[in-house]
Amino acid sequence: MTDRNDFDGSPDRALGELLRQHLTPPDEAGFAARVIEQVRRTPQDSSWDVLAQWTPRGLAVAAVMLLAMGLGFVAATSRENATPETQSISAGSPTEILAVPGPLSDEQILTVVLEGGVRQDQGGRR
Amino acid sequence: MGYAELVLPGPPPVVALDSWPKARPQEPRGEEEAYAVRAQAGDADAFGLLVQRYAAAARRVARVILQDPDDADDAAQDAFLSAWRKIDQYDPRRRFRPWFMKIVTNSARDLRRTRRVRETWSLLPDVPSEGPTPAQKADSSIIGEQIERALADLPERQRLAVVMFDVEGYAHADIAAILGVSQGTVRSLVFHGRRALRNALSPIIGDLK
Repeated sequence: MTDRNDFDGSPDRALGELLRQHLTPPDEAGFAARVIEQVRRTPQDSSWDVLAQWTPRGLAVAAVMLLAMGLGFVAATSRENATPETQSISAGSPTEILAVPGPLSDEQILTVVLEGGVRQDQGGRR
Repeated sequence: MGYAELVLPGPPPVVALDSWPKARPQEPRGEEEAYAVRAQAGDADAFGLLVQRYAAAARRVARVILQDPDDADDAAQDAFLSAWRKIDQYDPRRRFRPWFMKIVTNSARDLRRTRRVRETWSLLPDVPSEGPTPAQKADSSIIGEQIERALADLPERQRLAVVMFDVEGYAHADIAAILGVSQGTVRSLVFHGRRALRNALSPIIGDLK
């Protein structure tokens, strides 16, 4: 045992036999018979069974993809809806903004003040 | 340069289908692989021959992982049933042994995850009463305890590598495929595992020699 080279690429028979004796359980024939009996009662997986094993993962992936697509659609729709209104507010003249009935938002007030200031400057220069 | 002088590329050469490399026929490699092919056709008797051939090895390898003989038997049984159910996934051009032993190691690891393995092992399997004398039993019990302790002190992969190489006779390449590591790693695992076991068991091995 001790005269063996630890780098030896061949199996160590003494060590292997010792471990085999210790690890080998009793009643090998009885165990095999019980397993074979169970095998006879167990159907083999069909290709549908294999597919069924992937079903939960497939459903999860599909749900995530649907959610992502839904979020993308909602984001795109809200952008389309929001753009004309926002543009009219931000690009509109102070007169147009003030003509809209109802209270003004902070952004609209800022637009009116800044736009009004710019137009006054331009008028003064002329 | 006139149009007539232009050299236009011709159509690609037609390759005859006969000249294409043919796929290797799906022929099994050996006796065990032939049994597996029969099992793929639903032959439970053929699979039974594989069960008889691999029962002991499956139980030993499962025991190395689970460190409990009863749990090892459960894992080995699960592995055989799993192999039978999924036998269609086995490629007969490859060897059956590594394919099956990977199922055994997976079953044992799954069982360890799902079940709390008993911490106290039964150190030796039940021995038939007509076997050794009480004195011999006591001796073998002490030896068994030493072997259990020496194995338990090793990391799981070292235990598996040593048992698969020195007990089951697997090649480094097969063990690498089963454990999912490189062959170099397997050599290292066997080297370190053997050295630790030899140190721990040198008195016993010396007596046996």
